[in-house]
Amino acid sequence: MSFSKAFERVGIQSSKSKASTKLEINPEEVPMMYRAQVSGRCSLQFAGNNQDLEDWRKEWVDPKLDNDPQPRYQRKEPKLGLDGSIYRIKIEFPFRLSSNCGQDSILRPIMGKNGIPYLSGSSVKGLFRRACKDSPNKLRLYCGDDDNLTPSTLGFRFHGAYPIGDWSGMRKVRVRKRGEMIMETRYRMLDVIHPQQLRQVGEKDSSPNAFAMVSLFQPTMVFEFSSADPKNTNWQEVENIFLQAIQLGVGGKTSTGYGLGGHLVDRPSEIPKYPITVAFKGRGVSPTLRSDEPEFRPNLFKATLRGHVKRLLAGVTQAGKDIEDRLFGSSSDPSQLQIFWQETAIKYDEIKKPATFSTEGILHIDIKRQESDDIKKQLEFDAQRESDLRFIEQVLMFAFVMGGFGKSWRRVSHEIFYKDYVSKKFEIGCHWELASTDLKWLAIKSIDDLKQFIEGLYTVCRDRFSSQSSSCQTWREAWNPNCVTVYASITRESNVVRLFHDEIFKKTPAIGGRTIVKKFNRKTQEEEDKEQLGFSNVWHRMLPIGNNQYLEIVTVFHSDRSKWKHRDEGDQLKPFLDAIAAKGMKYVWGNQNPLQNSSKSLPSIPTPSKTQLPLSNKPILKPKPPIQ
Amino acid sequence: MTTTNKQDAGWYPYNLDHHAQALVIKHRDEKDVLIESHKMRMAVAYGLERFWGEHLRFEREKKEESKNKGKYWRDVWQILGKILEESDITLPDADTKVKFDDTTKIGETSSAIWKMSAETPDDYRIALTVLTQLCDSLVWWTQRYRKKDKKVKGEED
Repeated sequence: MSFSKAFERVGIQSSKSKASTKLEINPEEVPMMYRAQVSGRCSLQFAGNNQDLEDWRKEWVDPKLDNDPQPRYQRKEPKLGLDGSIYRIKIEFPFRLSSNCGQDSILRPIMGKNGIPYLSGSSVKGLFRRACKDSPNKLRLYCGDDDNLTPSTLGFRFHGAYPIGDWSGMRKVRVRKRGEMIMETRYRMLDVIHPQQLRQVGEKDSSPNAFAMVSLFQPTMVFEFSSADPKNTNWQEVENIFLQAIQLGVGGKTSTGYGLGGHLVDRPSEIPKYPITVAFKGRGVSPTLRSDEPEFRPNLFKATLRGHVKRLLAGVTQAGKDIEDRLFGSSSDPSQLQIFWQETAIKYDEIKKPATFSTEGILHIDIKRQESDDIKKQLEFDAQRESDLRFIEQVLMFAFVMGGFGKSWRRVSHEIFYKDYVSKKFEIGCHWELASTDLKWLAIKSIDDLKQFIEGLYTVCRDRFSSQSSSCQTWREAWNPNCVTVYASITRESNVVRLFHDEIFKKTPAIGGRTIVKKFNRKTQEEEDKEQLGFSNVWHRMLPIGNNQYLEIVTVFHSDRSKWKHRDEGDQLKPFLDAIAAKGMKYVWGNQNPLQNSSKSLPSIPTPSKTQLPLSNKPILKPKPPIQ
Repeated sequence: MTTTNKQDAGWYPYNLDHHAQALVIKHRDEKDVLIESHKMRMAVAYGLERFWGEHLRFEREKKEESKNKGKYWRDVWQILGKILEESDITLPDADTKVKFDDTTKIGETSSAIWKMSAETPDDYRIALTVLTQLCDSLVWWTQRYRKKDKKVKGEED
């Protein structure tokens, strides 16, 4: 778009006319994209309360009129199938799609004309090439020969893709403002990236920034192709290869579910064939977008698994970072782990604050297969992938057994297990169950089963990942049997949940997760006590074991005793352990004498106990340094 | 190359190519800094204010790599200022004295840039044209002098 056009749009006259005319350009009227991208002029990076970001979004997608039938940022549907020499395929995506143009301080797609996002032809060709890799003939026909640098024998072209209709996730919601109910237009295109693993695991106490990004919300995309000889091109074959190609995901962030599940309009989603599939039902406090819109986001599964892998590795080694980065990705390499959440039902209750969700779906997990021309190396890669898959499946069980997924996962759903509290206040926690089709996935029915499961997983971690020096991290939630104790009992209802709301316990940082800090109040010019939200050092879970019974599990981390001090009542670890014992909780695993645990020394890695392991997990490989 | 003697009438290339070459050589040893040449060429499309703001955006970041990128952008702005000075065009903040946390000064510079486009549109257009040409040269030299990081996959030689 030319300068003058851009300025006309925002009502600034172009200076093209005569050099002599003196125009007043008010810098405050310059569109956001044309400003210096620094705070004070235009800062798009941060997802918090960011007016610049809102203004920028408005300049991008606000329709001119409320009932504009064809807003500028939306494209009409063109003729599908063969149209002259162009062949078009329309694909719907069930979740979001992300692509990054590499410009700006914010992840955003390439903008085509009128700000309509555009997916480059080279990205589509890359997908196509991947799908053809086992068929050299098709590869030469459609993509050309990479080795001999000859173009496609068919004169085949990839023209990229663009969304049609609304991709900005626009919807009208009724909100209460100043006591009145009004209709407000909201957009869900402003997405959030909120990295918090350092904080969750206790590696650092920093408060993480939430970054904004732009992703296309449940878009319908049109992909365009052409060939030099359209009449003699097998378009049906092209379509089949293409549908196969997009199963692996389109665009970026596919490991967390972006760009997955694309399908033709009249057909269901193609589900990727991943080796681990488990059907879950879950409910709890919903994640929200910047605008407080609730949205159940599949990337929370990856975040949960990453957090637990961090904890488990931290308990047996100080060198877990490479393994974590290899599996989950880092700024230099993409994730080997692939996750696809196939949502079959979702409901939000937005009347309550915070909004809650209840969902059902199937979680599909895979580890990318690494390829090598060397046969020996290939065998090593495949063996490593096998043990990675087994390990990740156990980590998934661990996440499901010990807590839950997503926001507020350390607590049980109060809606189910502490109704009196929710009727007066608000929902806390979450509750996850296996769908009836997958009940056999987990065979934990008793305290003994639980003990064997935790012991088995710990042994796998220690045998496969622990380093010679047998030292581990001192993080708050490092999974080391010296620093953590697990208790459990079999029950029909929660006996423990009320303890978390006990006047003294809830104000003990390790239990209630709140710390009182001194903050300087500028208005009064005095220091005041302020509550700061942190993380509890206790996990609580009600694991369903059939017959309306639950294993009530409480996991206590006690390596940092300072967090167990109540401001007036002193150390609360003993009173808390006494209180859960009085409720029938029995020791299961970990440190049997947490009260004698001193946090000064670095915990060592205990020698293996002689428990019979239920899981045949002979480690195949020692971890390797990351591949350069 | 033509001489820089202003007496020569006719086309005058401002030695853009030499300036670009010197800049690329200066910054080629820092990791990933030269990638910015391509981004500079793209940023030109948004006009002078946004181009000028980029070095401030990088300078406020903590990472050494970002700071180095910021220096590269700043150097380009300074060179542009010097080149334009030869033809009596004053580029706002030509000596890049404004700091990223000085909101008032940032506002003043933005105003000065837009004032330039309104009151002396020819100067503004010349500045933008020269900058575009300079960025083209930067890209050209980057393609020849950039050190490849071994870990970068899928890049053309």
